Amino acid sequence: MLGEFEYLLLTAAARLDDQAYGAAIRQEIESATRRRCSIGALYTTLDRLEAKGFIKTWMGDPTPQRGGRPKRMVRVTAKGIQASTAFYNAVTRVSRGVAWEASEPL
Amino acid sequence: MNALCWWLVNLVSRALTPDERDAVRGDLLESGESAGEALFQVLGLVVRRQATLWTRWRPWAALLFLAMPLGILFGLVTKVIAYHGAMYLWLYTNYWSWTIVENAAYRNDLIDFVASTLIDYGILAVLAWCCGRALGFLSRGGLLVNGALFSGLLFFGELLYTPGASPQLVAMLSDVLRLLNILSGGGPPGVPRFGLYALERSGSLSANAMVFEHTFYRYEFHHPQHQFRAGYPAYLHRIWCQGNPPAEEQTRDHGSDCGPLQCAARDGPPYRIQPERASRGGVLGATDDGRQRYRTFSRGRVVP
Repeated sequence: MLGEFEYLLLTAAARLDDQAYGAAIRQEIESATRRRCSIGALYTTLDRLEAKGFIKTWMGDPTPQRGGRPKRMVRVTAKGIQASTAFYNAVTRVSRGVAWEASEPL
Repeated sequence: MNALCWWLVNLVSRALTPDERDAVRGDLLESGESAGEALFQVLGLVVRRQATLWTRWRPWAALLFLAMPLGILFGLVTKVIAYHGAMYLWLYTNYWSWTIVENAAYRNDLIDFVASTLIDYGILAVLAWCCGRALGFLSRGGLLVNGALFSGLLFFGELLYTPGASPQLVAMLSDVLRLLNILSGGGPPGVPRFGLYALERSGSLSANAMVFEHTFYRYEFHHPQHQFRAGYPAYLHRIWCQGNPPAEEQTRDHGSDCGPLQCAARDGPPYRIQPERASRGGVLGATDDGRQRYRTFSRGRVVP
């Protein structure tokens, strides 16, 4: 079973497709969650997901915008897609019938 | 301030593997982070990486069996050599006369002092280099913490073994030297004045209290010597190690991340590389039949 941040990362990588790399994934997660995403969390989670075989990473081409430094490109594997689907289905199932309306004033 | 922060970012990111360092610095540049934020981010990543690393046995072994004992031992030995040097330096600067050079006995003593000091410097530098190499061999990734501890032990050893600071410590130091002297069978042949025996020859430290009354001989004279003879060789080796991490150290938590060509060279044919899109770069490699082909590359696994 995936963790919450792992799922966020996989979803961002899947959405970005060919353009999925460190900085882009981080921006995608930040705009989706409206929270800061640290580089430390991102890169350690990337390593963990790669170790589990859910993603595949490789060093891409350097670009001038990055001071000539290469990107760490990411691609979600079939196993990653399967795990993400399972996580999404579980969240959907467990959320069924829950309205999430606050009964007390915040 | 910004320049300092970016300099610190570069410095701290040296703890990462070269590939990751480039990717992270590129990400920071691309996302337009401020220098302070960039430093915070890189520090966070380095701390996480180190935390992961220290869940394994190798860094702990390097710490317990190399960095700590050798740091203490080098601190001790450099201190003794510094005592020796300080006493002679005090004598020569306070009682300098050209008679020392003219008189054969005095001259021999001066030559002996200079030669033994140079030998001590050389031996300690070599030992420190070897220590840095052993640390790197046992756990290159843990060099950051182990190196800092090693330097810290040298530095605190310097403060701890200051003459007159603690009679108990001085007594312990003398005992250790006596033990080393016995264990080594009386000293290496041809190097009768190797620094380890300097204290034995010069009697006790209290007998030279006059020398160590001066702050210069007690503190200032020792620090640069300490760093020069033990700290820098080990530190330089650590820098060298950080710049050239071996392939096995670059491997992430699990699995291999080496490129397909390296993997192919390691595993040998037959192999096939998982297909990648052409836009992701490529290399001109030789095939088994000797022809050259443009191959896409990735960090994926090689599938036999």
